[in-house]
Amino acid sequence: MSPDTEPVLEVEDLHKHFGGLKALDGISFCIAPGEILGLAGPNGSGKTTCINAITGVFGLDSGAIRFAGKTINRLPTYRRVRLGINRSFQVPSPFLGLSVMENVTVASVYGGNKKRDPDHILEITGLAQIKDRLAGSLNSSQQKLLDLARALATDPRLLLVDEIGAGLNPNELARMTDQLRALAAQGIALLVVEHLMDFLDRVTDRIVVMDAGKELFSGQLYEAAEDPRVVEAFLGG
Amino acid sequence: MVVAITVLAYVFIPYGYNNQFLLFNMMMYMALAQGLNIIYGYTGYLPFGYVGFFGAGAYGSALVIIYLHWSPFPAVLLGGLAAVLVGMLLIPLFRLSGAYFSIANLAAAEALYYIIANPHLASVTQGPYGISLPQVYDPNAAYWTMLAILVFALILSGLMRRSRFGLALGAIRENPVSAEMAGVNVVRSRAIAWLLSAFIAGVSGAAFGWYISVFYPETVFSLSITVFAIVFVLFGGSGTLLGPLVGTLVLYGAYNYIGISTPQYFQLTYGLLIILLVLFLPSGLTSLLRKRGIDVP
Repeated sequence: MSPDTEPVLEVEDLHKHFGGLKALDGISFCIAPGEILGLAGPNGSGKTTCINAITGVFGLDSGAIRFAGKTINRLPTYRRVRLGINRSFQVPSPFLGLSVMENVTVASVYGGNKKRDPDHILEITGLAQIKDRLAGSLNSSQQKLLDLARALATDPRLLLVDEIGAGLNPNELARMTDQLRALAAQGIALLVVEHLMDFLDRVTDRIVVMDAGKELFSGQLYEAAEDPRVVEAFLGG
Repeated sequence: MVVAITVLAYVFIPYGYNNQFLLFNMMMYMALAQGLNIIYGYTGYLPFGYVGFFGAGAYGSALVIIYLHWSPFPAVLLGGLAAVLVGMLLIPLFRLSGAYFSIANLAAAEALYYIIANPHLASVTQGPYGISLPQVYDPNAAYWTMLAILVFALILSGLMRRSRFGLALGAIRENPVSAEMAGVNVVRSRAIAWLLSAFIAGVSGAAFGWYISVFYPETVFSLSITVFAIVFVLFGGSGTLLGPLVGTLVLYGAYNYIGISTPQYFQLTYGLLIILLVLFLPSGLTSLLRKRGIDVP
């Protein structure tokens, strides 16, 4: 993040526990407009929990989430969406009984910005040819694209992308890389949660590595690969 | 067109068929099935205690007729509002989902039944001794009122299905978390659908109470009313305007036909019909049309 750019998202000292499990344990980071921040870490390190907290799927025990300078901790999810936060899901979650077009239209109508044309969104995500098909009839990678299209239809300023690369073939990964970089070029801030290091390397500007709900490392991916704490977290002691 | 055909049928059939009570009940179940369709077919929440709204409407209207001497038409509307009030009290049930919601809703309807039927409240609700409305007895007027309620339910359901609001409800039915991520205010949208659904049951119960004029708590809080409405919606096809109409027409027609012609085989035949449908047409009769590429309204 360049020092003269105001962050669009600031998360500060987030804490969340489920029973005895500390899912988030003091994680903090920020993202600037147009920046792509990677969030990496072993399974169970709190990456998806972090996305759920930012989008308001569940509340925090403590900590602050500021979007465009405004604290949004207590806002319900749909209000956060209308402010400009959206996400894709680790397991694609489109509206299976609705058509591809209806999936995008509902987000376009309710997501806060009616100027986003669903046809245009389907065009840029490569779903225009199948817009009349039911979402339930799509394969997994098409459903991931539809998740992304639904998110884009709300005109987000911050997009949280949860393991969108998993299950994609090399060609699809390359296209997804280009798409995400194109979105960042438009000024959208992206938080990319991913296990595929090569994909993260090609997409992100910098990464934060999490372990047990805490920040383990922040910086460039190649530096992370040489950090003994990161190596230990991924490979074990 | 669906609305027009329905209206014409119920306007002209009485001229050649004199069982007005059966026609009234069929209209009532069509309206109830449509009301249930709004909350179940469009949002996916199945209220086993839907009859609670029906009973609240019947009692709400009857009590203002008895104690405040209201005329039946505003009393029917008040019956709808009484059901809406009950619906508002039950909105916290939406914290539950699936079978838990259905069962909690059933428990709430049973609780309401026991409150109404409580002998200690007989000075207010008439308790288990029931309601008698001889002063407003007018089955013809109640018949036309029920037809107006059915038309209202059909128009409302049709508008909801074709509107942006209907699209939002469809999104909620498919995945509430994703619906929130599409910007839909899930809590408010679901509550609106719930209260509209309650209103339809409430005015239907009020019109039913007016039509029969003498009823008891177990008459208007009978679980069979919910069961019939649910089965009619499922049999015809939920989430469509036509499905609940077709389901009621076929099943309630069969129910009466078999019950009169061959009552000894009634349970067997009726049960068999439902089992066959669940096995071979789980999405309802109207799914046959959809499979042939016909758009079902």
